[in-house]
Amino acid sequence: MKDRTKIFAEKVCFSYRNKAVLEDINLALPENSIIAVTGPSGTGKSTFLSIFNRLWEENGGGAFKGRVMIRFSEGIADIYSKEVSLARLRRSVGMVFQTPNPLPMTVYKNIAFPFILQGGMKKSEVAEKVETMLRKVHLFDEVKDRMNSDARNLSGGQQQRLCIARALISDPEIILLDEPTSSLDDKACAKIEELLIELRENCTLLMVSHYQDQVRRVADRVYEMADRQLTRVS
Amino acid sequence: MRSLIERVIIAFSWGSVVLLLSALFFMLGYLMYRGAGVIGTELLFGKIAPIDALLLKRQVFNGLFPAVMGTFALVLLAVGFAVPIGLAAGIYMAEYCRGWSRQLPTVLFDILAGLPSIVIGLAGFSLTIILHRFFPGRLGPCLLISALAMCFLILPYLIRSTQMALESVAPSLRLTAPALGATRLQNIRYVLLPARLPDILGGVILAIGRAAEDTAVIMLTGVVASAGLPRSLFEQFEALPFYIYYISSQYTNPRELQMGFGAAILLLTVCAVLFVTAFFIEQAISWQLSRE
Amino acid sequence: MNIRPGFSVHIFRLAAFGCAFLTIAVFGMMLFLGWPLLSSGQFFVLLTREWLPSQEIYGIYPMIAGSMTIALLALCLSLPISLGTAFVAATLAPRRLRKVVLVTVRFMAGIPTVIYGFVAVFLLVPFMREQLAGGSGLNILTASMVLALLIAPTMIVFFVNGLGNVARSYCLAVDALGGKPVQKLLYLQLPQAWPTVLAGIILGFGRAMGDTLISLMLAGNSIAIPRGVFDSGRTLTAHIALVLAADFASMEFKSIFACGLVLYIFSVIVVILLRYLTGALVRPPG
Repeated sequence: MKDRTKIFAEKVCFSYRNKAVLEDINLALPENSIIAVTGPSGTGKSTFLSIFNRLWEENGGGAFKGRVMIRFSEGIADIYSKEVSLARLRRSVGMVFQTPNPLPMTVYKNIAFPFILQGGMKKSEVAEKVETMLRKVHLFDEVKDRMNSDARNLSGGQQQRLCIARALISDPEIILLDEPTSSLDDKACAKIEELLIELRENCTLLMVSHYQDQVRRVADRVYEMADRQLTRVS
Repeated sequence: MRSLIERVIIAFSWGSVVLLLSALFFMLGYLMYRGAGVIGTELLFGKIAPIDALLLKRQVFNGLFPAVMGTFALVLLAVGFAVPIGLAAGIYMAEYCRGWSRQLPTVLFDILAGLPSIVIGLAGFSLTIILHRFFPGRLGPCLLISALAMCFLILPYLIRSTQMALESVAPSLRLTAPALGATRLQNIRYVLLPARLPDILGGVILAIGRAAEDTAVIMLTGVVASAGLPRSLFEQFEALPFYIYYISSQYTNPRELQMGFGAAILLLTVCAVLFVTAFFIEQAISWQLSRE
Repeated sequence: MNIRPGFSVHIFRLAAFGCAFLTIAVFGMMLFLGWPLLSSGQFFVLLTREWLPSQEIYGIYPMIAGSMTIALLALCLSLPISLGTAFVAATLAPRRLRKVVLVTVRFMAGIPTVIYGFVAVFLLVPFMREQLAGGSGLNILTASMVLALLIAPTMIVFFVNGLGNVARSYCLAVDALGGKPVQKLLYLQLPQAWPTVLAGIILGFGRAMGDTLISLMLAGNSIAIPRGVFDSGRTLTAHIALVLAADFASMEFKSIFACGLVLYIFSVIVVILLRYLTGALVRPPG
């Protein structure tokens, strides 16, 4: 099962304000693995990630060419085709950012936020799911008494785990991670790395990182980005 | 030579500050000195018991109550019209309007913000003439026309403060909700607006101050010196700033003049309260920003 | 949210373009209502003629002259004080005092115009009448002095922002070289911030031209062309407020729309100059 292709990219080109960022990228990424992309900063690694949940469309100036197919549990889909709902795509392809970005609301509401967006779910169901997710990211014991306080009062490491829990709550099949540990200290970083390895059981993780040792510790497959190209390193 | 110039500049600058502030305090002091004596319930309600006036049992002739209520009604209507429109336009400019089509409305809002209030008043007045021409009836200058003109006057402030508030949301926060599957509208509704609510509220308070203070707009669109309490949208009304203006040239006895000073203190207090509120909101924002 | 997203976008767009359209409509409305006068007398002739209703000449030149004189005089009185105060509030004073000065100035900006006028009627006008000018005490200088006080906060806030926006690293460099605050101000901040200072001056002038109440209450409102600062004068804005009482159908009444149009065009010029100076016009859309 492990070698089944999850993400398939063909002739992907991306330019920002008429400047080429990525050129002719072809990829086939396996399911239930951690794939890391390394490379010097400013080479468009974050842009690369945003191709898979179409987040680049939120900012003006980008232009995409090519094809990206994802094998979701309900079938294969070309994520740039018109039939795909952006909201559903982004729930199935979660994203975690470089700096933790809790929303300005309580811890509980932060994690339940995707359900608030979706609507039509019972309160008890949501509460149950929130607790499960908090346990999954090993945050429950730390925040169980602070569910109704502002999420921005948590420590950096706690905030990042909260953001991961928030991305996980809509049961994504793929998680995009943009340097998820770069703003954290070593201890918090180690906890996140452990968590990532656990998450591999059910998800495909695509991670951007410039920490070589981190990549060596967690990644199953490593690509390097340079000169608008992606080359497989291991 | 250079150090002499420098010293002259320093002396001159401090001199300016002293001059400006003494002018301010002299003005405020004089106002208090002349008007402090009339501050009290009689200023508002004349000889009538306040409770009777408030319950509209008896009409107030000798007090500011009708003018205060007129201003209150005007501000409430104008802000009530302007806030939804201003918010919607501000949201559109910040979140939806892209590229070159952005330039024209931006310039037009700048022009609107720069138009003298008397021109806005004249526009409101023109509206009544044109309406009169097409629908011959009894729709002259009235509270509704005043409120509409005032709404138009404060709109650019609301649009700009909403637009700037939304545009100042940090990029990382802006992308958070879309990455979780939020539509653009959901992002505005659940994240962007709540995150910058204090800024927008600050803009609303500024707009309230402007609507309470401006005289030129209402002068052309329906305010009069004595009309009693505002009873309907289609009647003329009294307002505090116009009363002050009117008294300054038309007072007939010392008692009226005293009332003018009282009204000035009252209006100044309203504006001061609004200013302090806006100030504290701003402090709260900068404190919040320093935390992010 | 059960509303279709497309629907709300239409509402937002309607609000934005509606306001933008109304701004143009204001111009159109004044043009429409003033047309009988404008088409018979031609706009530019109107601007240069005197006001002689008995000969059916409704030139608004005296009002333009009055507005310009009062606004320019107010600007001349206000500019040095505003610059000096801005220097103190931006650089010269210790940090805490700077904030106090700035907050006080901003409070001044929040004081209703009518209150400036009201106090001046009972404080400055008698002084003018008895000590300086004689007559009624209502003249161009009186109005300009109060107007100077009124536009000062606007200009000061603008100047302080401009001076404060000079790159921090430059300021640190001057500080590190042992420069005194006044040197930093004169040799670094002021040369760097001059476009903003100029923009502030234009903004102040625009405010002075657009004000109605101060000139209406204090300038005397006589319709002759002013010859000196102790003469009475009438501004475009005051003219609009004063003539409104006249008969709707008369040509005299139509002249207020010519005044309105002049004021409108003037504010458009101010906005364009400001945008040009602050670079907003040349900045590409983002």
